[in-house]
This record gives sequence, structure tokens and C-alpha cells, in this order.
Amino acid sequence: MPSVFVSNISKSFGKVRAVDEVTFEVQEGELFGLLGPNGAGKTTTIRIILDIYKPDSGSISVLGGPMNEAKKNRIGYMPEERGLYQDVPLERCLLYLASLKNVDRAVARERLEGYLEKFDLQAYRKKKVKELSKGMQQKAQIIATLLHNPELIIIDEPFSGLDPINTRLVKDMLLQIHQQGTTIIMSTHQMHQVEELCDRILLVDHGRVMLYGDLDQIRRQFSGHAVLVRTREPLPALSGVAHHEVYNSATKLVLEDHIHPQEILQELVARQLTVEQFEIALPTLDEIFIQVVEKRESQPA
Amino acid sequence: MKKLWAVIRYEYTRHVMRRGFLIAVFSVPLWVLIITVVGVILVWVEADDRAVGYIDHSGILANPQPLPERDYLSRPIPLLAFENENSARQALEAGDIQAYYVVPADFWENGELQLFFIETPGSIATEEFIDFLRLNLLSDLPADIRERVIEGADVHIVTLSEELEASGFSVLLKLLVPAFSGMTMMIAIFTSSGYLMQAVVDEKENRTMEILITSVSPSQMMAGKVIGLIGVGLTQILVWLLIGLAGLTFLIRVNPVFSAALINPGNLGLAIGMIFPAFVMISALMAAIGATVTEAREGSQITGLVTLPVMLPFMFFGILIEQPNGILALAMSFFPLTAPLSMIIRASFTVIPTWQILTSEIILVLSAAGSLWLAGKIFRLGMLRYGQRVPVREILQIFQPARLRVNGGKDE
Repeated sequence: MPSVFVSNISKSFGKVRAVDEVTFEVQEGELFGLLGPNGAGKTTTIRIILDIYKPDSGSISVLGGPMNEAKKNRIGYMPEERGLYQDVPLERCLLYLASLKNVDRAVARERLEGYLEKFDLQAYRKKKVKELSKGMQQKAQIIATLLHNPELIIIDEPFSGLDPINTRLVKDMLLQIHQQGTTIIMSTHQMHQVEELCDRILLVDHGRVMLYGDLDQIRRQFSGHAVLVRTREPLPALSGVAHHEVYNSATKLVLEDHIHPQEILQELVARQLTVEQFEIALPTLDEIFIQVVEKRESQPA
Repeated sequence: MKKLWAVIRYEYTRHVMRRGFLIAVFSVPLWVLIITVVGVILVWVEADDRAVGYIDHSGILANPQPLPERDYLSRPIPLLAFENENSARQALEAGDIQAYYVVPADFWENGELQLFFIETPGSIATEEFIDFLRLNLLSDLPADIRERVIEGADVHIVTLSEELEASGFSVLLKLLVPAFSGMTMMIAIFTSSGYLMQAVVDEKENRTMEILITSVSPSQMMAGKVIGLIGVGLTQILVWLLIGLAGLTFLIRVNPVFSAALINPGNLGLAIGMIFPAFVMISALMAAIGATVTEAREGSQITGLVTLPVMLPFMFFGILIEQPNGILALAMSFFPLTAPLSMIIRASFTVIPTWQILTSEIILVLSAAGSLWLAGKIFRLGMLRYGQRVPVREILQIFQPARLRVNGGKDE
């Protein structure tokens, strides 16, 4: 059963169509990437899922049916424009937000203890939120999202404002709760984060679905006829290679149409070269994204 | 219910624990106390209690009857008889007396007196001598009649239903105390509903709103905030009431006449019945304003639309006193925003017919419920608009149920 099922939703604000016939589903326990540039309609889609906005058309099913008040307790949401009470001590703010998710105070207190330790915020518990740095506030916001042990987490741009160490920390945390079986929808425009974390993605642009499905399949689908090769010895000229380009420490060989990658491997072996890396050259999400957007822009509307 | 309670508790403690609130609560009685004490001290220090002299050529004061002892808040002023004007003048120049009167021989004929002084004497001093003179003019009459003439009449106002009673100095207290308390309560309401508006604007500004409404329903949120803030206002009123009562108890010990300041239970009941729905209504309207505007400054400009009509009865205080059952009084009693203060003021001057009390109360309660409903709707319209005001056109659409659409603001 999908945790979230979005069926053909559209939403306009005035003349701007923010979401245009978007359909996708997120399976239970999945770490799903919602991608797109700024202004693509990601946040609006999330707000529709959470029943903050009503869609103009289409329907939503969350945790097995329409959204209702009781389900709010089972969902953790971290908005992109983060919000914590600024004038209130950190601990009090987080405990209050947990109480709004119906978490027993004692339980919330105990969990909070663990999270404050994990995120290295213990020393700041009595400090007012506004006295914390941006990164600390971001971590506090993540705690607020997790404190009630939600079944479904919707998290908008979780890494913005974090330094590399904290980015790692948050990533590990997301992977850990993902392993525990929590469904996570992560919305971001940072493609490389999604490549690292997500199994399936939805890419939207101008409110429309551009790509949807298994990340590996999508990359395969966009892979050109090329292989990435690294050998200990200098790479000699090979037959069947249309052209090559140096690609990080490896070389990307773009093959002639009739050549199968297997033939190149055989030739490398036959020439007694020490092959350290040989793989089908898959495009990065960034590259795919640029391809998709360029293609869309070149097509008449 | 648990969440509602959580919102109420949070909103209440958050504001009550604030330093600003404590200052607001305690500064008002403190100022009243300081002003009163300074006033009393000034009167006491400045009051001239030196004797007033007199020279009597008419013979009226030849064998004077002293004034009966009176209930003075200030010190009594002795009256000294002088043989002649020279000795009186010497005493005046020496500063032993503050002034002296000369009662001429023909006083019976033309009633003229002469007053001599260096600096204008206090009014108590002059009144004291005039009363003394009057008393002795009537020396032929029996003592009780004389005293009655001097003391004047103590008017007891008693309506046929005996609901409104007052007399003498207490009339003043009975009239002013309810009006003053009404105003104080309104100040408390405005303060706490101002906090409410500020809180809503802040939540919009710091984006907490999105977290909140994905945790509780907008109506729960709204109700929790309104109830929490009413608690804040009631705390403020309660503290003032207790301090006021303590002060009054002290005054009643000094002089029992102050017991008239105790509002009678009927009027107190009416005041509570009026103030409570008014509180809900004003708070809800303030929250709605908070949800529509982008920053607190803008909000406080619009709040005038609410606060001005509420205070209107004070501007028409004179008309309400003169014609507590006139058309204006009636109209203001039935308009929700002006009703609370109009009714409280009127109740001090007249006996309001039961049907009017009921009508006014029903109008207020319905308006309070309506304001809450409206605020909930506007709240939903405005809660996610960052840096954008909710257009009046959209607010008006609320009243067209078929076309009601929840619409968000600027978004990605």
C-alpha cells in the first residue's frame, strides 16, 4: 500500500499554474526524492499533500485515505521556510511542538534528551531559539520533525544552511530512520543529495512532472552509449570508440553505435591492460536535469 | 481536546511569564497608588491649617456656638475672635493666622463681610467661617434644626424596585467606580488581545504557522489562542481587582463612606456577563486582523477599527448620564462593539429593563461566536501569506459559502 498517493492534482494561484496534473505515489518505507529547481511547485505539492492547500482538481491519499486531523500526529513535516518560536527557550519550544502531536510530555522529554545529545545541542536547551546559529536552528527543526516518531516524514530542503559535518549528520539520521521503516519524502533542488539517498524520484519543473521512477532506471534511460574506463597503463586508441573525454580520474569512451561495451572490455583484456574501473557511464542527475529542461524549453509549448 | 489544552496552556504561560506582562500588570496599580499618595501628601502639606480670625461688630458672634465636630479628611481649622482690627492685623502679619474676617455692624441689613489676607486662604478655611457664621445666625432655632441647615440634605436615590441606591458622597463613588472599572477591564482586554494579534503576526513572520497547522486544526489553534489570551486578560483583571480591593478595604477602615465603591452584585453580574463575550469577540477580531496583515505595525493601525467603537460610550459619557434610556443609549446597547461599556455605564444611572439586558447579552454572545467563526476562516485565508495582505475581496468571499475556496498566497 502506498503511503502517499497523489492522483492528477492541479493548483493555480491567480494565473500561475503552480502544480499541473501531477501524479505519483510513495511506497511505505521508501526514501523518495521530490526534485526540481526553485519555483518548480515542490512546496505547493507538499502543502497539498498535507491539506494546507486544497487542490483545484485531483485527489490525494495519505496513509491509506484522505488527510484528517488524526493523521497529523503520524506525519512529521519540516517546511523549507523553517519556523520555531524565536523568543522561547529551545527545550520549551520543542516540547510544545511535540505536545501538539499528542506526545506524552514524559516521553517527549526522554526522546528530546537523546536528540539533543545526538545533535550536540544539550548546552543550548535553555537558550532562546533566536540565540542559536542558523545551523543549530536547522538541527532543532529536524528534532521537531522527528520527536513524535512519525510514520511519514516530509522534509523540505533539509540540508540548506548546514555545514558539511552537519549535512553528514542529518544524512546519516535520515538513512537511519529510513532503515527503521519510516517513509520519507525529501524535497530538494540539490541533485547530488538525492543521488546519494533516494531510491525513487519525481522531478518537477514549472509544476509538471518531468521524470518519475526508479533512479537507476532513469539514469540508464539517459545514459548515452558510453563507458567509463580506468586502467593502470595509459589508455591506447581503441577501435569502435567515436571519441573520448577525461572524466575525473577515468576516461569516458563514447562508443560507435554498433559497438557493445562488452567488446571494449574484451579488447582491453586482450591488450593485457590492468583494468581498475569499467562501468557503463551513467549521467548524474544534474546532467539529466539539464537535458530534460533544455529539451522542454526547445519544444514549443 | 488535549491539543487544545496544550495550545491554551502554552499561550497563557508564554505571555504571563513575560517581563513585559508583569510590568504592565503591576505598573498600573503602582501608578494609581503613587499618584494618590503624592496627591494626598501634597494636599496635606500645602493645606494651611493656621487659624482664621474674626472681629465681630454685629454682635452675632458675641456668644458663639461652636461648629459641631465633623468628619474631616484634613486637619480642622481653629477660629479665633479678636478684639479689634489692629490686633488681628498684627497676628496676620506675624503669620499666626492665615486671614481674618470683619463682620460689620450692619451685617443684618446688607449681609456684607470683609476678608483680609496676605496670601489667598484655603477654601476649607473660608467655608469653615461661613458655616460658623451661619450656625450662629440661627442661634434662636433648636440645635438639631441648626445642624440640619448647616449639613444640608443627604439625598438618597432609591428607585421603586430598590435596585439602585446611593446617597451623598457615595453617589459619586457609585457612579464613577463602575465606569472606571469598565474602562480598566477594557484596557486589560485591549492589552491581551493586542498580544494575541502580535502572536499571530509573529507566527506568520517566523513561519511557525506551517508547523502548527500540520499539527492542529486551524479552528483548534484559534480557539486555543483566544482562550489562552482571555486567561491572560482575566489574570490581569484579577490582579488589579485584588489590589483595588485591598486599597478599598484600607480606605473603608479610614472612612466607611468608601464602602459605596463596592459595586452591587447585580451590576457586577451584568458587567461580567457583558465583559466575557466582549472579550471573546475582541480577541477573535484581533487574531483575524493579525492573520490578514503582514506586520504588527500595520495591524495596530487597523485595530483602531475595533478599539474606537468599543471606547465610544466614554466619548458619549455625558449623553449616557443625562439620558440613560435615550435613543443613543439604546442604540449603543444593542451594537455589539459599544454594548459592553454602554450597559455598564447605564446600569449606574438607571435600572435597565430586563428585556434590554437579555437582548444586548444575546447580541453580544452571537457576535462573539460569529467573530470566532470569521476569525477561523480569515485565519485559514491568511495564515500562509508571507509578506502579503489578504485582500478585502477575499475576506468578503467568506460570506458566500458556495464560492468559498481556500486559497494560498505567493508560493513557489
